Amino acid sequence: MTTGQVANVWLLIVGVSLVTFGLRASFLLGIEGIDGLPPTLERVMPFVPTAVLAALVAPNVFLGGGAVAVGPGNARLVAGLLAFGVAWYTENMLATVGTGMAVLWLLLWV
Amino acid sequence: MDTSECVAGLRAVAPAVPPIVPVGILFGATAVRTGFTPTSATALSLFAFAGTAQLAAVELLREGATLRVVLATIVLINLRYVIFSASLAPKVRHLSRPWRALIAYPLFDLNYALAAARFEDIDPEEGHRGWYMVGVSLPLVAALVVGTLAGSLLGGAVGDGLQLDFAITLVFVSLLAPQIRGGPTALAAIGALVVAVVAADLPVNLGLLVAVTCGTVVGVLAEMYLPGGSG
Repeated sequence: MTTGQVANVWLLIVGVSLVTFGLRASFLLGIEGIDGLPPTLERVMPFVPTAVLAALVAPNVFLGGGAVAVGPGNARLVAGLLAFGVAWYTENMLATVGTGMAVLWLLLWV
Repeated sequence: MDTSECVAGLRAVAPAVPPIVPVGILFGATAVRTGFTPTSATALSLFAFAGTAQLAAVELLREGATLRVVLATIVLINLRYVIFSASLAPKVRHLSRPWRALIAYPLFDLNYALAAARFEDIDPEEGHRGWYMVGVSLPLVAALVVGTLAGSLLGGAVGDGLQLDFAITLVFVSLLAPQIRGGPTALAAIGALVVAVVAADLPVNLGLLVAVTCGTVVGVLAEMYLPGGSG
């Protein structure tokens, strides 16, 4: 078990909770008299979650042992691509995670 | 108390509750391997109630990110809550501030969609909107908290051989795929993906924030200049 560089887990809990509540409460409690979001923000917003998810996924799938590994030898890449296909067609989280983990275990253990 | 609105909320949300439990289990099981205790992992699920962001936090901590980078990433992941907040605000303006805080606390994609639909159909005089939100959100919070507790108690027993950290990546994959709805979103994803791989060695996971910025810019530009875009 490692704590990483965040020594105080409770500080993290307070930080994550406050930041998240702040975003949720932004218009419900804070900003009043403004109808909707500024146009620039409205333009940028739809792409942010897509970019965050892609950026979170990419290093775990395309990097093997610290270097870019694109090929059938990279079990996580194969499992990730198949899972992406399942996610695309089913939009079902359990099916996606189940397929990806099953493929990964199969490739690593068989 | 408006029992009928609360019950209407419980009924509406029921089918969506079971899938939340495994997210909690996964978070709990991976969190205890990243420095959390069962108590602190469960507390995060209760106070933040942000499944995807919590999984991202664990993933980043595992890779050695600092608190600042984790928080910045959480802001980006949860930025969409601002849209939900702005959209619901005019519909609950008549409620007191404590009620609006209660509505804000668990707000995410699922209960937002249910509430937005209900508030279109039912006038504020016919049903208390706060109580509807309580009915919709309470089971979701309970499911994440119970799942987290179970996962964090089991997590210590699971060996590294199961590669549970990859399940987090797969949760992100399952959320990413449906978001790609055409050229600009696909290019935003590819842009972020390429930069994230290239910049993976930047210290404290700064590469992630750089990648998100690049992907978002690519998406906005593609929408403005690609044929068929809105610009």
